[in-house]
Amino acid sequence: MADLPRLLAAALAALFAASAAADVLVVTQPEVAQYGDVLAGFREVRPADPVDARNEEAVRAALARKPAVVVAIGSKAAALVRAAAPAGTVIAAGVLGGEAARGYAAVPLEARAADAARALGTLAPRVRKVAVLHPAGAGAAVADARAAARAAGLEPTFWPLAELTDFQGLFRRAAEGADAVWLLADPRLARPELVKFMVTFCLERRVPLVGFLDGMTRTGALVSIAADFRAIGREAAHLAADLEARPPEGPTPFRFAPGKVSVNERVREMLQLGGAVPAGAETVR
Amino acid sequence: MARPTLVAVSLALLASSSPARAQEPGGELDLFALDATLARETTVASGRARTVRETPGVVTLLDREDLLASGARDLGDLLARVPGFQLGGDVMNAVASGFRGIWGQEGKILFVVDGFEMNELSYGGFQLGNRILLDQVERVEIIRGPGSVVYGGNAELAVVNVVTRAGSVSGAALSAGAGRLERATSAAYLTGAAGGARGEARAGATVTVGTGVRSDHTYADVAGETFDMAEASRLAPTQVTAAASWRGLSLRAIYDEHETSMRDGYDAVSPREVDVRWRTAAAAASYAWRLGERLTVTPTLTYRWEVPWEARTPDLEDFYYDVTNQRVTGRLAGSWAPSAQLSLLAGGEAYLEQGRVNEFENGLLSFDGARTVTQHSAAGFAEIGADTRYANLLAGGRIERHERFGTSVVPRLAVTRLFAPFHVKLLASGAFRTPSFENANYGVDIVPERTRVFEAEVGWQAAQALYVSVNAFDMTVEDPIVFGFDGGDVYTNEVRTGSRGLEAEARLRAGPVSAQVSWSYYSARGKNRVPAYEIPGEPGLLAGFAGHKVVASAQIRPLARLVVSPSLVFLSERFARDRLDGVGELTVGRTAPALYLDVFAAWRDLGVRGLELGVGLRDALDTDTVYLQPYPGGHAALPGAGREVTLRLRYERG
Repeated sequence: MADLPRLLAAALAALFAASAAADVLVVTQPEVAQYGDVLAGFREVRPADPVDARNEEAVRAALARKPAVVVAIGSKAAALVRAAAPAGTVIAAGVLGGEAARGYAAVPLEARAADAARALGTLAPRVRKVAVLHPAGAGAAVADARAAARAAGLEPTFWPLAELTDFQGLFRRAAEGADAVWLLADPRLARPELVKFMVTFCLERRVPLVGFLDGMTRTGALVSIAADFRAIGREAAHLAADLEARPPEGPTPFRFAPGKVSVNERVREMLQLGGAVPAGAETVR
Repeated sequence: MARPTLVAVSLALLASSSPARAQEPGGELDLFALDATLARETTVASGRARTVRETPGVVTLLDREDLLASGARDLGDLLARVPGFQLGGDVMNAVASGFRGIWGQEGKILFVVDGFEMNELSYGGFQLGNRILLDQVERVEIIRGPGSVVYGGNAELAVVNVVTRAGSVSGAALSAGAGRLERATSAAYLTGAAGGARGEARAGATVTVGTGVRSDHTYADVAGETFDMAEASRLAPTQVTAAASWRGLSLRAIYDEHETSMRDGYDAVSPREVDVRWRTAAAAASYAWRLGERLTVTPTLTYRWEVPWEARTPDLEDFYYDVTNQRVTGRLAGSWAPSAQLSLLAGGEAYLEQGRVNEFENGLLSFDGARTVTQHSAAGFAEIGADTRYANLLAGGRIERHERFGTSVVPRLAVTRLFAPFHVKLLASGAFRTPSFENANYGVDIVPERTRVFEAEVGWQAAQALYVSVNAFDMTVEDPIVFGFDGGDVYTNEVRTGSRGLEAEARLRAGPVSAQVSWSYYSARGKNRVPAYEIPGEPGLLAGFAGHKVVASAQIRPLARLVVSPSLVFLSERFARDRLDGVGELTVGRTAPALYLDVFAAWRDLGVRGLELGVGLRDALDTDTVYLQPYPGGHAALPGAGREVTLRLRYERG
């Protein structure tokens, strides 16, 4: 008999979950491992029976049932959903927060900027002037970075990258006079030769480099804040619940999920920054 | 080889620009792939990564921004500004580099382009001037000191490692340049590069074609015979490089042609203009095989074909040379980082090479009477690095067994310590140079040269904007292979040569201004015992090279898109046996101290994003470059370019 309340609670939860699931449609590409992690994170919060983005017929049929919220994981899924122009609210999850998420609510791939600002402050407490390099058009990520930097007492200068023509020259100009360089997520900057250039340049001038991929930390960036895919999924589930409860009246909201922080211990020792490794950060040498 | 037309090259590059641009990474799937690539590539690199201040060598690194801003056109221009390097003249309109007072032609300085050794196999040399145009170069890494442990037998005094854009260009780039002397076009060239990445695969290529002359001055040989160099000192480069990679697999290729013309010959002016060219083609494949997190094994196979000093002039037998050399090299290198403090690089290398006289039947050339010469060599090398709380230590060595020249063993020890804002390096290295085909062919019981180098460097990061370093060196070359003439060419091992000295550098970055000043000094006092290199009454100097060199350069950015780069090079007095005395014997002549001023300005995004226009004035003081022959070969001083107006137009998409 002692188990009866728990059984009743579970039955009610299942009933609620089933009805909620019916109002939220998840579309994704299951063959991409990172999207699978986003989905797993989503399912930690609420159940989901995703539709495979490779099956356009199935996607159209699911959208025809007019779900209240559509969660598109990945840019291909977002593009499919955009093409169908569904009536409900759309959340783009795990996409780079530029064009793919335009006009939608989103939990982008870019990690929460506060994590980067906090990590930099912990590792290098004397840093004030920060050059922030970002892709042109990444308005939401830039706004998030500006707010996080100021909250952390940093003085950011923003350097938009429209094209990579003379990237090395721009990077030099950005880094000169800055106490640190902070890269917002931009796949164009993840090419090995560019990462090596940035790392070498910053090490030679003893300027901390904040990256956005674990691989950048391994290459020689002081710290990187990479996407935490499960956290993105969890945040997308919470955002879906919020939008179900109250559809947005104004501009569609962007929410940035927490990121995974990795620190290069060798670089930290080399730069002698006087700070500490942030709690919970992975360290590599 | 038929020279590709400029139009064809332009069209090919423009045609390739769109796909390359379409392959620019942009979505999250590209990001995932690139992250995986970085993670795989850099596990090894991070274990052994070193900054310039910690790396166990005295090095100069010049990245693309440095190269473009400098206004230097080619590798020779660049080396003339690097501490320790000076250019000297050889025979037949050839110019090459010396280092710390020692003539580096004939295999003492190793030149590497995209991983390929470029020193030709006949004599071991590498000619400069309108060659390796910097528009196509991603970076230049110079080890100012020996590198035999890793690089083998030509890395005796220094290593110049050039990395072209083939492996890194993204999108497409075109550039054209020209230089005008008073009476001749010193250079006119077109370069193109295109490449891109898709997921884990990337490919790229560069193309260079051009022409020009060494000088528009009059050359006068030691007997007073003259000719107009505007008419007969052509320097025409053609170069194609290509690189492709996928996961651990890397493929590289190069074709390099350096076509020249000359009348200066060996000593007396030639009765007519003679075409001389160097052609090299090479390809390599390597695979970085990761065996766990800490161990990577990389096998590399390289094939090289070349026709150096090619002069098909049966009517002028002195200049006639027509030999094809080939070399196949296999290398297996393992990199192991058992802990964050310990790293090990070890491996083996073997090559088989052949020299072959192309027209043996005419009886003009042979290898000791034979049409071909074939030889092989095998080497093992290892370096172990340990980072301790007191210093970073490195110990290594190479043992090489050559079929003809026996066994060479070279050790290497390095201690480096960075205790910000200072760093200290103490370096001791052995090196060797294996005789080339023709050293042996014209040699008398020739044996490899053996070199000992001791170096110490202190650096001080005085402020974020100011860095100063000073290094002292002592180099001794035992059994140097020296050219002589006793009725015919002959190479012999002399007792010893060498030099000791200092190099100091200061680098300043303040707002829109970057500036560098360097001073190089060498003395051969007590080090040189080769009479051919001595200068009577000047025991500190070696033939051909100034005892002091000062270089001051700056990059000033008054506007975001404008960079103005003045540079000043000072050479103290030089001496060489470049004239005849009253009885017709070679005697020492003095070349006065010289000051060279170059100014270059480049304007980026000129109306169109990616378009850059550069204009320059080289040798603005009209001092006139002069290349002295650093050995008594009977060649008079070779004039270089004088005042020259230069133009560079560059466009890049990507």
